[in-house]
Amino acid sequence: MKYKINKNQAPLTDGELASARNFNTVIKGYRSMKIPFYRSGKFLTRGSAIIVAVAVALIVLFDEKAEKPKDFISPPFAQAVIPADSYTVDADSATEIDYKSGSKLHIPAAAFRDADGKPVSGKVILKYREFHDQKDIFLSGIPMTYDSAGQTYVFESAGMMEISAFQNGKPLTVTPDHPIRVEMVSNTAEDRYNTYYLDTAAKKWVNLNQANLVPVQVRQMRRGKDSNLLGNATVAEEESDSTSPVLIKFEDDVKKTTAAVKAIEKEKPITIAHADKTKSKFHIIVDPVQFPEIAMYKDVRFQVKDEKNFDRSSANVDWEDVKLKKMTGLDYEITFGKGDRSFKVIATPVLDDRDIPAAQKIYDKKFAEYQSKLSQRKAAEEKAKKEMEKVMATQRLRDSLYEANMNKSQLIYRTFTVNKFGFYNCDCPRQNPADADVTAIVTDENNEPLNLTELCLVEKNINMVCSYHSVNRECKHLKFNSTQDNVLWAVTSDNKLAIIDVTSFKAQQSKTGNVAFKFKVIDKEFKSCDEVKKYLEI
Amino acid sequence: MQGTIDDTTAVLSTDDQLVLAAKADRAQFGILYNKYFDSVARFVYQRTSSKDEALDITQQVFMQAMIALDKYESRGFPFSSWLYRIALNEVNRRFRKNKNQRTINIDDASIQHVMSEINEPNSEEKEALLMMAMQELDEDEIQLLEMRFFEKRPFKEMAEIRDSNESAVKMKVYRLLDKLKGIMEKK
Repeated sequence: MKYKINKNQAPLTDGELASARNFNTVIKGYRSMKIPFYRSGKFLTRGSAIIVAVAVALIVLFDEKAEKPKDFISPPFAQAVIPADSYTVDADSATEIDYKSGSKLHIPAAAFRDADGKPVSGKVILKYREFHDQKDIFLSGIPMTYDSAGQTYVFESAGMMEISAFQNGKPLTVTPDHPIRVEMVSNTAEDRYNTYYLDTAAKKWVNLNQANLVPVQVRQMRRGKDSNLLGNATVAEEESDSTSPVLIKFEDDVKKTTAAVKAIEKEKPITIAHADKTKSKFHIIVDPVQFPEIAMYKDVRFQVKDEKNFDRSSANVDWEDVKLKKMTGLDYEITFGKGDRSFKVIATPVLDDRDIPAAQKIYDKKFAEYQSKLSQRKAAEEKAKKEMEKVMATQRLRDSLYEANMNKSQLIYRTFTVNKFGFYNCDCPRQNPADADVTAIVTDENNEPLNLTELCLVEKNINMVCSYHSVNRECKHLKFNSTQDNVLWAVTSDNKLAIIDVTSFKAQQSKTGNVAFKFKVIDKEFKSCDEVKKYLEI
Repeated sequence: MQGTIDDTTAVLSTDDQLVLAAKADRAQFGILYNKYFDSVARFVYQRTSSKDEALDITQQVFMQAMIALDKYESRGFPFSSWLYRIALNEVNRRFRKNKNQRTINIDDASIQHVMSEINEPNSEEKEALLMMAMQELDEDEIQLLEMRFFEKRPFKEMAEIRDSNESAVKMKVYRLLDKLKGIMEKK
């Protein structure tokens, strides 16, 4: 059994509590308890003189290059940072920005203030970037530890972003009552993530206690995004139809315009032939809506096409009903009916010679009108098709980004209310994996000791990066889960990437004691984060 | 003093002042200790099966609180939420260290409460099913169950203890109830 379940356990009595309550024991225990020096607040203040003395002593005693203190946010490779996208926005009007990942930024009017708190007007440069996976986190150099109730955790991330704004090169702030809303695409639908803001002054993450999860089915989300293309920001959450309503709208437009083209094509005037005096003809009153090409002329008669097979006696019947059907070319099928009897004949519309000149004038006029209408409707059809293609291309791009970046059955938004520029994160604090606890002896593949400035452990299936400190070529208490796939990513003191992949890690790992980890050092100066990421496969 | 709002404000500001005083001199922490000892002890005992162990862990909780006090910042939550969070860490640490089975304490009233939430009749058969279903929950879900239905804590306080947000906690509790019902129906 996983849990021991006690039923109706006797409660603690007031007497038992009173006799156990003893602050003297606690304070004695507290005073006797060894507090790690780095957790002591007093150390940082009263002990500053000691720090200086020890630091000087260390520099003198060790014949090693003194390391500069690291910046709070310290990307491991200066040339390989996750780039921010820049947008020029008008501070005086509301703006919506679609980020390449599918995230959306809603910037209200008057959202910016200058350093003195004065409202900013005109063009503003807004910068935005996101960090989604372990590689992004590693390359960001952003500390991912969080202190809660005296215990240090590592953040498991559901997505992190940085937003900032500038005018004339000077950083701006957010107008307090006009916050920016960011809907960031996340790679997980789980609801255990909180929203945190990185307080760079206090050098710590602050829990904002904001709900952030907006799970929406992929199709619905795309529909929502498409809706935004029309300026309608609402997200359809309940619809089950798999086709985007925006796409439907454009498809409808295409259908309508195509139908309009077909309708006008039906109205294409036809030239009426001269009547053949030798052939049988009959007069029919046609519906001008169904057969405008005939109704436009006066005194049109239908001339039998195949005189040889035409039964002339049919002309003597007093037919009660007649139906006309357009065939190919100038041919029409005419069906006469009376009771159960019917008679079919193929005929062409003709005019007597005397009516031809007037008919020609009508034809010329109608044909000009037809051509004008046709070209207008074809232009409308073309426009609708292009609009639809544009929407489909946008959707295809999002689909491909989604497939490439997320590869999940859902697309999820995390919302941030940005009232300060900086880093925001959706995280779940976790304890370091602790199944194995070793002292890592750090070497390269030739067993040469390695000095590391960064050492990170990454477990394949958890989106977090555990940072460790390597001192004098070893790392004490490197903790990991030995049953999982792990990798180590490190940076050497000469700024080279050093890695241990899953297979090597498994081959070298042990659960306790000293473990020699042989790193593969990548002797390359990286110019972009994509270059680094190629080596960070898990 | 009459009026609940003023009273609450007064208590919060007092706690903040007590924390400030204790940060400067740990001996001053005694007032907070005496104020919250009983509630923390009951919180711990709810998660253990021995009174001695619970009281021992409680002392440990306050020691840890004194160590971590410099890092404590008032964020508008009661100081007790911070103590409960330390208590949860301490209880879990103790279970891990001693490799003991995690203990769940439940009484008849709590069983009835859970049953009514999942629209199940309160019978011996259903109770047995509930016990079996609880064995399939993870630590996080057990914590939610304990806080909401055994200790009858409001969502707001649960969120504060868990360093989470209220809506996320609510959603998780509703999902937990669905899960419990689902497991019971399968059995």
